[in-house]
Amino acid sequence: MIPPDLFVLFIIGPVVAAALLAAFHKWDIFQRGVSLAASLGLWGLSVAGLLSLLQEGQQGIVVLRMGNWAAPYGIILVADVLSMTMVVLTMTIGVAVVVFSLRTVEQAHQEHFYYPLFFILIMGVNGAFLTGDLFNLFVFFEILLIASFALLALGSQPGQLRETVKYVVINLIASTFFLISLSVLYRTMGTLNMADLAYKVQTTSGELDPTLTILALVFLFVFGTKAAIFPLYFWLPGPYFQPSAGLSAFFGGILTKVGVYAIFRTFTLIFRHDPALTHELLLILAVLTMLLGVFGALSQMDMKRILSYHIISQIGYLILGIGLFTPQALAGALFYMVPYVLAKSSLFLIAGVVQEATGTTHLKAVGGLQSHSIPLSILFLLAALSLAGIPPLAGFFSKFIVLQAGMEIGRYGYVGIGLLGGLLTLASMLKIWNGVFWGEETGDRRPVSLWPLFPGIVLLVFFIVGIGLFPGILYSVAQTAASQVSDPHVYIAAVLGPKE
Amino acid sequence: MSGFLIISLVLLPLLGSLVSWPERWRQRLAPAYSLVPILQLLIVISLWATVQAGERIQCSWPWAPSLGLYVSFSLDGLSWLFTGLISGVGVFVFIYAAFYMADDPTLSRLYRFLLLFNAAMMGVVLADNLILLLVFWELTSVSSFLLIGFRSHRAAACEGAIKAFGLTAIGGLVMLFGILAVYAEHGTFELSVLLANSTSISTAVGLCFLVGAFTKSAQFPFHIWLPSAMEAPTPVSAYLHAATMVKAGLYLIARLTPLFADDPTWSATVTSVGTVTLVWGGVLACKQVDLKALLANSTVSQLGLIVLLLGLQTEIALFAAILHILNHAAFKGALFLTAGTVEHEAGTRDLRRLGGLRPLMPTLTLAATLASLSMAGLPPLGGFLSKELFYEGVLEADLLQRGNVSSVSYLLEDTFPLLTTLAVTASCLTFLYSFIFFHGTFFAPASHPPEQPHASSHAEHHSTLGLIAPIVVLSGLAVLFGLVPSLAEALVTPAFRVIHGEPPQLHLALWHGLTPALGLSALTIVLGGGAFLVRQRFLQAAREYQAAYSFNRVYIDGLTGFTHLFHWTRALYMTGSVTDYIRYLLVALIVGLSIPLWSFFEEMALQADIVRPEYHELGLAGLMAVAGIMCCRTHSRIVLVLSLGLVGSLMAIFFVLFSAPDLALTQVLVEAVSLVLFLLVLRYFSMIRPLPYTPRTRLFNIGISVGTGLMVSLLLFAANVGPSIPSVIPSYYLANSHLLAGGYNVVNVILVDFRGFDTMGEITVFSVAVLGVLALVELGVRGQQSLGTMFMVSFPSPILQAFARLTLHLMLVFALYLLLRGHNAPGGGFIAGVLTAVAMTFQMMAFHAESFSHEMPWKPLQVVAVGLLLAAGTGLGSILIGYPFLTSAIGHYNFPLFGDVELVTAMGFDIGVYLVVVGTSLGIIRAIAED
Repeated sequence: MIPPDLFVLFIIGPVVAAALLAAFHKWDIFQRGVSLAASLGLWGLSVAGLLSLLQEGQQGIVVLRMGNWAAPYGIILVADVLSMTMVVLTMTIGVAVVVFSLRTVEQAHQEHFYYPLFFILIMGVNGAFLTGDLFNLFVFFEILLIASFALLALGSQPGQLRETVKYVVINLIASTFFLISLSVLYRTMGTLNMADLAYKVQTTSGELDPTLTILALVFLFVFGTKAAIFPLYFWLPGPYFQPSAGLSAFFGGILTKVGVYAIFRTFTLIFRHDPALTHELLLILAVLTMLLGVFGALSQMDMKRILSYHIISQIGYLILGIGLFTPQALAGALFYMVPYVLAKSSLFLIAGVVQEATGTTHLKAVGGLQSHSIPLSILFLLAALSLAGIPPLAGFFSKFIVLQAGMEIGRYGYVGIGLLGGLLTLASMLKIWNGVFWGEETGDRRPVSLWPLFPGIVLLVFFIVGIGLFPGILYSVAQTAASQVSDPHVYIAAVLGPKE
Repeated sequence: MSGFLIISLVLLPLLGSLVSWPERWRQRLAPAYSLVPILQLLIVISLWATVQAGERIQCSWPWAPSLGLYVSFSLDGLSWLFTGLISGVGVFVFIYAAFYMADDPTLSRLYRFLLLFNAAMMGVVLADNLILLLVFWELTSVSSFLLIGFRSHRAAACEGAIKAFGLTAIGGLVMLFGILAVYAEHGTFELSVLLANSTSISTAVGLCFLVGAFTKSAQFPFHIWLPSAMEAPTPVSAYLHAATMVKAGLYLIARLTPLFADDPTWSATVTSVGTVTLVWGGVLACKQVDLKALLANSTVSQLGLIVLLLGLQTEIALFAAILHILNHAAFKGALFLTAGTVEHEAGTRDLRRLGGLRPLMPTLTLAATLASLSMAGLPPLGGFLSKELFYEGVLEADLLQRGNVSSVSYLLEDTFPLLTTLAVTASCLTFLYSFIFFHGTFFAPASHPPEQPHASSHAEHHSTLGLIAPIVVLSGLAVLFGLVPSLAEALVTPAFRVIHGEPPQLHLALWHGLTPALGLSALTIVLGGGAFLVRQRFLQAAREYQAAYSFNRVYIDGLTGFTHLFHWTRALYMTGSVTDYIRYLLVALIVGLSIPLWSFFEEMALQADIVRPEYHELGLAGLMAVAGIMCCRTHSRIVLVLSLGLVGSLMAIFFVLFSAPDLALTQVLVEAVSLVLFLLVLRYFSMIRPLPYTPRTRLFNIGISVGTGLMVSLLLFAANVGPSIPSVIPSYYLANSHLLAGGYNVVNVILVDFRGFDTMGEITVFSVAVLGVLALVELGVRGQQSLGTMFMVSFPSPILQAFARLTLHLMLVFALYLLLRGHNAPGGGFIAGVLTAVAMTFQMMAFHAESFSHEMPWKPLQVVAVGLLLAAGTGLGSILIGYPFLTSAIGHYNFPLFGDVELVTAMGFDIGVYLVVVGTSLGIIRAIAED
């Protein structure tokens, strides 16, 4: 439907937008107008891109050679259904966040590059999803890191800076190990092109396996730190609590998912030589992540903090899907990703509305918001119940598919823990509901009109409800994606051409 | 057509709940929502003929077939009975609510929630697909949650709502597990398919379904949510928590009974849970002083009774169970509404303050008394019929037990008629609390006469009819079921046939002759009556005992306990200290890597020859290590910066040694710029405070550092000695750098062409850096603390200035030269950019930064933007002519002075890089220096 070469726009488009926005950073209308137009345009383009891939079914992979150099010599962008779904998801959240930001970003922040930095963040995310080259992935991780660093620090409040520095330090450690492991990988495999790596793993007869296992663990350490899985998630709750709601929504929804995506990609494409070891490890880490995250959430008394801990818990579910490593489980992991990101981002945005309306998100300081804004409470309830996996919202089907995949291969214990995690998630969502929307009306009410804040949230919740009512659509997308990733030959053939 | 009718049973209330009246007429139009249950009732009645003929109506639409999901409904006798209950009781409750909350502005919302519930409940009893059933099942929980917490300003209401939701959600999740297990085994979610094939389902899965049913139907020990749910407005309690929703669990058990007919565990579990609930609920009900609390606990008990009967699985028991579902809906609905009317009129529901209402409300007294007596099981009311059958059922079970052919032999090991004894006990309790209810409210002398009814007498009068009529009708039904047993029998039979498979042999009648069951009924009346007369003696003690221990207490303590536990564990490891987090991270890394590395070196025969390092290399590495250790140990930031610089410079020497002049050049220039930056910001910082580590912590830290270093070294070592695949990439680059990319400097060609896309990313990183620094400085440092005119970076020395003036243009020209030749010889945009930045910085240091920036025609930020756009634009240009992003074109041009010059479009990209680097470096330095 759209020419393949245009797929590069998901990466370059945001850069162009960011450059323009940075150049005219004091021009208010320009900032808002260009941001909105760019995010909407990229969103539309990404949907068109995904649709054109889906038309081809399992063969729907677009390969772009940057600079027209063939793999493995040049950098390759690979847009398969998995990565394009992630791009569409990113752009959806991006649109919602931009729309929300139009009303909430302080003038000073807007003049100090809020929008350009945000678009570069989008560029980094999209690049990480689309690249077919591990070193290039590193570059995009750096872009992500520095853009998120600048955004987290925007405003320069002391507490904010303190948390931001922690974030950067931990992430730099991970990046350093990323670089080290890339060099080791290159030394061992002679390439960093993912398809080429996959091909070599497939064609060597096991003598590289011990080295690959070590590398798999280092990469798991690197990506796991980015994705915030156990025992590497400690950095996450602090910084994600600090920034403005729009950013929290994007960070909470999308950023950790880049790490998850990287695990998803590498552990389905490259490190699949010894699933009995690597993927079992993923399963164990998954349930620990799931439980400890939700335990942390239950111990909190602030809406945004509860949500931050939930990010961790839900990551566990995603990793569970990857660890189960059957086509259905992989489809389930992708299916899990979409509603969860939508719900998480909309909840953060709702926390932002609560903040706008009352000046705080602490459960003890607010109450009785239901009578203040019924639309807001409906939106919250839909998003929160979806996150908790209550049918017929989208989140239910996420859980359903992952757990069904677990049942099929007899992993009852993991399924049971998954269900327990869902129950505890519900408990913490009800805790927010009880603290914020029910109870005595407490806290100040700022005389602000909340309506302008809703469009972005409504957009996200619309998809949550829609996916819940028609789960088959997303599932068929997820199945196509799973059919591509569960057989690496599809990916290899698309990038390197048919091999003997 | 019938399919359409079934789906409209669900869709009508769903659509109804979406209707919102305009604000102005909302209160007046709200009662119109009652049309929905009325319509439903008509539909249900119209389906009677079909159902009586024993037919099933089914309809199905694909939902997500690849997941086994279909929107499939089916209506048979069992479903029909429940749809009748939902719509029938619904009609009364809806009408009642209009009067009960006539002046309450939230009435409209109440109706909409009730309709949502109605839709969900219809869905539960009609769904054929198990997942669809679960969807509606959870939807009843959600709507019940919203309705219990309807008065959301009351803490008790909110807690009750959460408790109910939480406990039923446990059941829902366990049920989901069971459903998934069924699908994993049988590949279908369709109940009708499972039932038609009499699929054998394992007991464990059956128990999963039972947990779901027990939570929903408030069976022991999940019963605690139901009394707390009484915070809901009374019409809600009557509808959800007496007549319909709590019966969803019963429906499920009844529905699945044919699948587990031969499963002794199923039967024993159901029977024993039902029995315990029956007795325990009765005990609790007697103790209550609040009318609704009494009714709630009595509901628990009565639900237990039905569950018990369903567990017995005999013909009589099953028939009694369904009959009692019907009876219970009638009398309990009436009694709940009575409690509502009493509260509405008298202003209290407290039995200790109520009494003597008979002369004030004669009609209500009659209706409520009849309903209570039906509950107590007195003839000739409906409750008597089911009580008789209940006794027959348990007697039969106990007798069967003696004949050793029982399905409940699990439960009862000896020949003592335990079940019968418990049944009689429970019935006495029922008798007792039924009498307490109506006697205490209407007949007892008003011990604490209520103050004049709170509602004004004027308003009271017009509402009275509406608040009493539904009760009269429901009580009338309770009477009617007793007086005309054939009516009840006709309603129950189709449902019975579904569960039991064949039509019932027995016939309902008030008089069966002198049967043992009749004897037990008489015994119940005698014992219950006696207990009622002496109730004062023990009730007081029982009420006091309640506070000491209850399952509710366990729930609350458990909840607080877990919250504390979670809080404690989190506080334990989430210390907020980044040092701790780094420790966790590195320990995880060491633990994670040591095992595979160990096995690697154990198994791996070292294949490749180890290249022995040269002495000067070792020396350089040693120096680097020393510099590194100095970084960690020094307390002076100057020393720290210099040591870091030393590490960088030594690195540059390594690059030279390994023949990478571009890298060396870059490294040196970057070190220079970083040094300047460090020096600029250094004065913001104080001395490094030595951290107050104990020797043990210090040792631990050193251990972690050494461990991490060891891991990395071993990793690199493993890569070098282990098997590897030689790379074909470097030779390709060397061979094609000029041939295909038009450049002799392979490094530069890699940067701007082969892997130009990486560079595109890196210059983005650069650009972000300048944006970030500007934002940090302008919003933060400048705003928060006045630093004075810190550096001004001016050494106004004439010699320096003269020198600077001289070198500026020289350096700029050299930078340009490096930029242009970069494609073929060491140089390139990046190096040239850094060099330009160094030159400019030099100028700034020699002259005032401000005066210098006036001379600059462009702001650094704009330079960065232009650079980015140029780089991106060069790349995008190739798309326009049909090549992928960043494809480079080569052309030869003849320039005067330069001769034949080979130009590649990658050059445009490189100039973009150059601009970004210049702009970024200058922007950052200026932002800090100008401050």
